[in-house]
Amino acid sequence: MKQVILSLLAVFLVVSVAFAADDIYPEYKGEPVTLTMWAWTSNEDYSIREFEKVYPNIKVQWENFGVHYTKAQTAIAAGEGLPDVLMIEYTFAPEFMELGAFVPINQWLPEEKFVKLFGEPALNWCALDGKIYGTPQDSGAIALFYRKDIFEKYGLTVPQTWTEFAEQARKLRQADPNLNFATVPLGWALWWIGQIWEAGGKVFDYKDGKWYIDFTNPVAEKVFNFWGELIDEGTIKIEQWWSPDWYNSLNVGKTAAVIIGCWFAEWLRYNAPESEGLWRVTIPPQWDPANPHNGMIGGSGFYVTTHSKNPEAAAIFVMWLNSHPESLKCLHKYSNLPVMVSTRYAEVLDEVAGPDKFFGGQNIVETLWEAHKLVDTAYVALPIQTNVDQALGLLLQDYVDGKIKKFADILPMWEEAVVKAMKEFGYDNVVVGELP
Amino acid sequence: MIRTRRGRSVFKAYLFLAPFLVLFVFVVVYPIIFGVRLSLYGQRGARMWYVGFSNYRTILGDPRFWEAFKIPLFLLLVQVPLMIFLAILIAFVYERMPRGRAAFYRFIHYLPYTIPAIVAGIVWSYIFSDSMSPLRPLLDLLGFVGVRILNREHVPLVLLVIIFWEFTGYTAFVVFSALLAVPREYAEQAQIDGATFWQTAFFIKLPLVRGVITMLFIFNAIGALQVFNEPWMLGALVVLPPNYTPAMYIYNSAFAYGRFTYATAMGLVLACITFLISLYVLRMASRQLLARGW
Amino acid sequence: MVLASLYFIFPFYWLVVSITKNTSQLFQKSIAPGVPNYFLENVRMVLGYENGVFYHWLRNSFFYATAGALVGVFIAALAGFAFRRYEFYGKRLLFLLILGFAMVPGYATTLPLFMIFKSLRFIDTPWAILFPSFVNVFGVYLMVTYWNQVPQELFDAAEIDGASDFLVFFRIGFPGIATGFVTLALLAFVGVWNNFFLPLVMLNSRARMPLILGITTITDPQGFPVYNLTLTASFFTILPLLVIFVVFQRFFRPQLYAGLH
Repeated sequence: MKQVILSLLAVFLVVSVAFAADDIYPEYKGEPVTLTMWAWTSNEDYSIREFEKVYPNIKVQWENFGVHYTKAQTAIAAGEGLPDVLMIEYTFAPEFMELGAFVPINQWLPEEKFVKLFGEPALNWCALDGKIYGTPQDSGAIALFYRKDIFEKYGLTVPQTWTEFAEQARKLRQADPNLNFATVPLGWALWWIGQIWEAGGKVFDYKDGKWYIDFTNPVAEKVFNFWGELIDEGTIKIEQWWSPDWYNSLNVGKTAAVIIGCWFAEWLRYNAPESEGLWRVTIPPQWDPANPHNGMIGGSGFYVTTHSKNPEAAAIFVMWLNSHPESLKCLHKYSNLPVMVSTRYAEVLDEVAGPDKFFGGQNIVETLWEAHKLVDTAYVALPIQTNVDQALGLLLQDYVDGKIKKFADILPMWEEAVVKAMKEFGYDNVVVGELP
Repeated sequence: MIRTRRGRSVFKAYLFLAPFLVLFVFVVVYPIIFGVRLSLYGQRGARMWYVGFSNYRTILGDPRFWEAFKIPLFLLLVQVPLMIFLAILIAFVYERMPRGRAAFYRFIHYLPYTIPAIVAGIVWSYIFSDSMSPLRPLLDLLGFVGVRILNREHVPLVLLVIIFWEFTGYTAFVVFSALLAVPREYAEQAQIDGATFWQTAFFIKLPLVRGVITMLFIFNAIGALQVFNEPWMLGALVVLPPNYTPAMYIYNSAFAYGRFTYATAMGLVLACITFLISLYVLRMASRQLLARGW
Repeated sequence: MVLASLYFIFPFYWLVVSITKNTSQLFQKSIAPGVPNYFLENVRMVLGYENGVFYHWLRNSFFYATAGALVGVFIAALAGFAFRRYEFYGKRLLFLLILGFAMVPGYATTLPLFMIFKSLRFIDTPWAILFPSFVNVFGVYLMVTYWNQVPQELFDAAEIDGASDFLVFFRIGFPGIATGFVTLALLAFVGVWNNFFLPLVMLNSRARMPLILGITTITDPQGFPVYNLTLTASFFTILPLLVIFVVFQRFFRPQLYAGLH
């Protein structure tokens, strides 16, 4: 009976989205309440103002502490002190879910409605074991950012496939050994997993109460062998991203292209202001152009915490914040956040898209939207993301220091370190060597 | 008579000590006792369960904890004595200089201490960056053309550079302020007897401020064993293991892995080790400073 | 000495130069001021950030650091006096115990402290910053050494005159440790001013943040640091510390009692 009602509801929602969009959001009948929220993005206030107009009984107090994981970890262990709504990167969300930081909100945001509003893959970043804890805000869909001036100067073409990517990289290395076609980060597991994801693969997953780890599957090996060859031969350099050297290389035009999440557009605007007009964006190179794919690097969601005294209001808020066109418009307008995860983004696309001066007049919103639509798979990150990340960083530093000779050898070592860490954290429900 | 006087004196002593002791118990001792209890628990998120001494047994067999002591020991044996020696020299130089000039140098040497760690991290990571380092021309001149400035092997050396920069002036400043209280006649008498400035400095004045020097040793030793900020800031340039120092391992365990009770247990073990290492100096300090106590 | 000074001053010089640059200029190989000069724009951006929240943070920092340093050093002076002046049961043990407890690294006891403060409702109040700042262990030990430098004759003379202990402390002793007091207060002020971790964990609202925490939240709209702004804000965070140091320099002269023997 419940199933029937739910599917009827789903049908109703499909219909209602079309002509009565605002019926999606439940009415708030509770007591007037003030919610607290921690988020490091700096313009959530505009959306909050719109929200408070629609829900006068729910006020939202937003606080910004930068990346607040230290604070959050302390409050979680203490059993109190989290705000009602907490911003967390998708890759760290399972860790916080496993720590018991979040409370399920299915009651107010059932799965059908979530999928309707945010799409199926997003469930993997916001839910575990069928319990939905929050909503996704921005997309980390991978894009290729490149310097048009360097490409033109050296006669490079924008690579459509990874084979072309390798060709162009070698070509530039030969033309001018001081320039990098692109660099890869020293560490930053997100990036490397993003590459495997972009190839349509994964290295871990979760299903029916079991964690699956398999780093040495054919897709992951293909990706690591590809980069390994370029790195071993010196075509591609490993660089500490976000370091002063990296900032320097992007500001003086030593690097021709960057493969990274689509939020990077805004980063460039702020951190390489004098390269205005020189950058362009395109979807990342493909392994099989006939069957294009994409993955993500980064992106964050807003989750309702177990310490919230009013999860109902918080649930309504996160639902509205990350899917209502008014809010999406604000987030776009004031923060240039790629809030493309919500399916309702389509409703605001025309309004927010347009030529972008920094990108030489390119309509980057459309390109990034195209890149995001190619993200049609997703998987659950392991609940020990920090350890996954640190393990890779150490191995890559070993490679840079000459302690590891062949780059591709890193993959099985990384798996070993991750499996060991899972055991150390007391997970005995780990399946190694296969994926569901 | 003696007994009541002593009794009164005990009462008065604790009266003067009371504000400090009350606060100390409140924000230091009580949390530590609380921490001792927590260290007997396993923990994941807010869930805790009693495990007895299991955390301590794990620490004994956790190579990552013990490996972390390499850097602190290096600092303890090299950085601490060297820096205190330099600071003493600088403090005497302040004394010797005309007052205006001394004030100027004090200001310059004090500068680094005011620069907060997050800012120092940005500045030093610029100075040690391969593409922009102002040291590059110097290094090229010395024949290190194309050598990467920062790899993992160089880190201990770089730590010395940063720590000396940060704390030498501070230490000199503390020594200097103690020297100010040394009666001038001592030095004048010695100099009339034919001693040079440096002889007077090291054989007459230094022994008079040895209490301060001992204290500086102890607090610098604690600082060395708990070193955190400096290796942490180099993390922007080179990947260091999460257990590069004991304090980094404790920080990571608590705030990155969410294993607070294990981190607390490690913190207590670290404190015991610090205490044992500094016990000799501590006893010396209590003899020097509490000449009349028991 | 001049060459060594370069080592001490260069990072600060770099900071000063950096605040005249935009990000692109900042990350280029140059240690000269930015051309064109972005100093005024940087300052405007920092001071105008979120309607001048910078001034709020500045005020908070002054409050936390002044109260924390003065109270902390005063309490330490009282404790140091006790160690210097009296013989009492447990003196040596106490002396060692205080140091022993101070050897437990702060990161290991953050959670218990947080839980204690939580149950006292101190979280997100100034007390959560002030109480820990009042405890200055280094200050206590340094105070003992400063008190030791006050000649015994002074205390003896005061005792014969029948002065009460508090009178001895304030009238006779205090001038003797004035230099030490100022030294410690200066160092403690900087310590509280630059304490990042405690307020990060204990405070929950932006309006109560001290500068050092606030400046790390001056970011681009997506939360990435914008270094020219971070550095400009840092410069203005450090500036008060330098001014205070210069102002108090005049206390650093040979001491009142130094010629008494």
